[in-house]
Amino acid sequence: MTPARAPLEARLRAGLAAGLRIVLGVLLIALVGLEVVMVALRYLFADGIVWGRDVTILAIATMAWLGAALLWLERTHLAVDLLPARLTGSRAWRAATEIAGLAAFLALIWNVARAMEAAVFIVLPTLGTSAAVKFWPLAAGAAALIAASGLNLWALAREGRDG
Amino acid sequence: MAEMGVTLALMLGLLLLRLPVFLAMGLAAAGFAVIHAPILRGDVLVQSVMRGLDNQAFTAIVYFFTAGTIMNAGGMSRRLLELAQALIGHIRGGLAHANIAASMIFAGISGSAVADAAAVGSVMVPAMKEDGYAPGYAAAVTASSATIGLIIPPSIPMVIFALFTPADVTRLFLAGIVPGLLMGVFLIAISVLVAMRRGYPAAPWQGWGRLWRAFRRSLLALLLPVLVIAGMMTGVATVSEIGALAAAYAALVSLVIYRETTLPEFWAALVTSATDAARVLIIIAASGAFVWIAARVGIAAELAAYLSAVEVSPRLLLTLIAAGLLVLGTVLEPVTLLIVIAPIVAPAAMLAGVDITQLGLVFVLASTIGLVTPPVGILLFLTAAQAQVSVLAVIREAAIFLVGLVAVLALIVAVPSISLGLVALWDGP
Repeated sequence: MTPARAPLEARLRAGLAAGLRIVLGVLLIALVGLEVVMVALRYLFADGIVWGRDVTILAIATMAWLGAALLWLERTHLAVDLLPARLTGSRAWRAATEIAGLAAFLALIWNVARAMEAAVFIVLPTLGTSAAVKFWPLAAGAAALIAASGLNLWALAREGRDG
Repeated sequence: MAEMGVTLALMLGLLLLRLPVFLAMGLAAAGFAVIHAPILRGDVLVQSVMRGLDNQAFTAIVYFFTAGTIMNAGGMSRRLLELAQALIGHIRGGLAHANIAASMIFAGISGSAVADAAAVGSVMVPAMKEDGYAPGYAAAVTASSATIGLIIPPSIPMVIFALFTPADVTRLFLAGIVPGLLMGVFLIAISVLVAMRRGYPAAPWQGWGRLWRAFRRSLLALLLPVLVIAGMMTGVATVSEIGALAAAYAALVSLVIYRETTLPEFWAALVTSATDAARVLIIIAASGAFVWIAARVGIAAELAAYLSAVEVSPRLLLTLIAAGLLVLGTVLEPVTLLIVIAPIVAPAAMLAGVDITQLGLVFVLASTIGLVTPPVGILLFLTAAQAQVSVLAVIREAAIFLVGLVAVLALIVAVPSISLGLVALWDGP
């Protein structure tokens, strides 16, 4: 007898979480490596990496926004637990939080697109590219947050259907 | 001022509804934008959120999280506990004192109270329960001593305070050493009194040889805080560069020298560090909108003008700030307090004559105490789970330690040289 296959929602959730974890780990290794290389270059060759600062800031912003999506998926963001867990843990409460989050993330991605449009003709001298690149972490994070929130809502709906 | 008050009240309301902190901040800022539309557009708010993380120094938060997590995964906490037990485990109630001493040593590596409690508590709480200590007491000792992790450098909240105010992080780190040790001494003194009253057991003295061996085994871990402080004092690298070097050092020690961690465990530690850092960084990003609004409203200048009009003495002002933070800390996380309140209060306090380094220490300690106060003190919940006991039992046992922590805070407010003595020595005559 073959084991029952996990529902599509659960497989998508696992896939998204695994993908985000890989990106976060790789980003962290790259950040530490880049910083150590920059220190070594400064002391050994009295040299530096021109794009180092900008890439570091892009990487840390990406880590923050993609990490936020992973935390949203796992519902482990910092929050204030003053209300009884019976209330905040209820399906209706969780669904309301997810819907508020989803609306906020959709508004975020819409406004990120507008901000990118405004920045498209500004050039970053160190990277030699458009300043719109600075909004990529927000765009990627907002997209991942929308996916995470959608999956959480899907899971809540399935929970309700299965009783 | 009233607009900012409404925005802050909206944020608090959303927080009480258990919305994640970053979302509550974002929605409150969006509310401000809606009121001021079309002057304040959504994409302008997005730009302020993007600028929230537009500072390379924020990487220091990531690196210090990483160094602590890797050290812990690499068997470091076990070695430090062995050292603490060999050092003071033979005094009556020795396991409780060793727990506090281990937290003091671990504080020099992790910079995070939750990491400290998780690492020390996972070993010490079961050991204390097995030795006959009340489970609530074992949890309370672990929770209250874990707060030292945020005071003894490297300290992530101090880095955050320095990034949002004109404070210098090296001075803050130096200022944290004596108060951190004082917290440890106070907590051990309370623990000795409790042990005598309850007749808790003492382990036999293990001898100087055992102590020396434990010291040698944990020497590479003990070197980390020394390297961090020395690096910052000599100015050979920036705080984020030192953080990265500390993380690389931790990886080297764990993987190559101690070899107590496998590659999958190491990878898991990296991902944990990144997600722990993201939990803080996303709040910093969301605060970008808040900082922008505060600057637009000019709240810091208004507060400074008000304080200079009422002529409050620096010590009274510091006392009021500490008291306010203790109250707010019962419902808000230290990170939220530091990011939202510090940029508003610090300029006004400096104008009133408060030393920014002393203010930083008061800010960090007062908000840290909130981690062990009901109703939302995260350390109470974490250690209660470790001890498998009700949170109420931990709160009851933690009350006496809380008195000790507040006493240290009062001393820091009343006697500036406790925090500023080492800074003055470093500055020279």
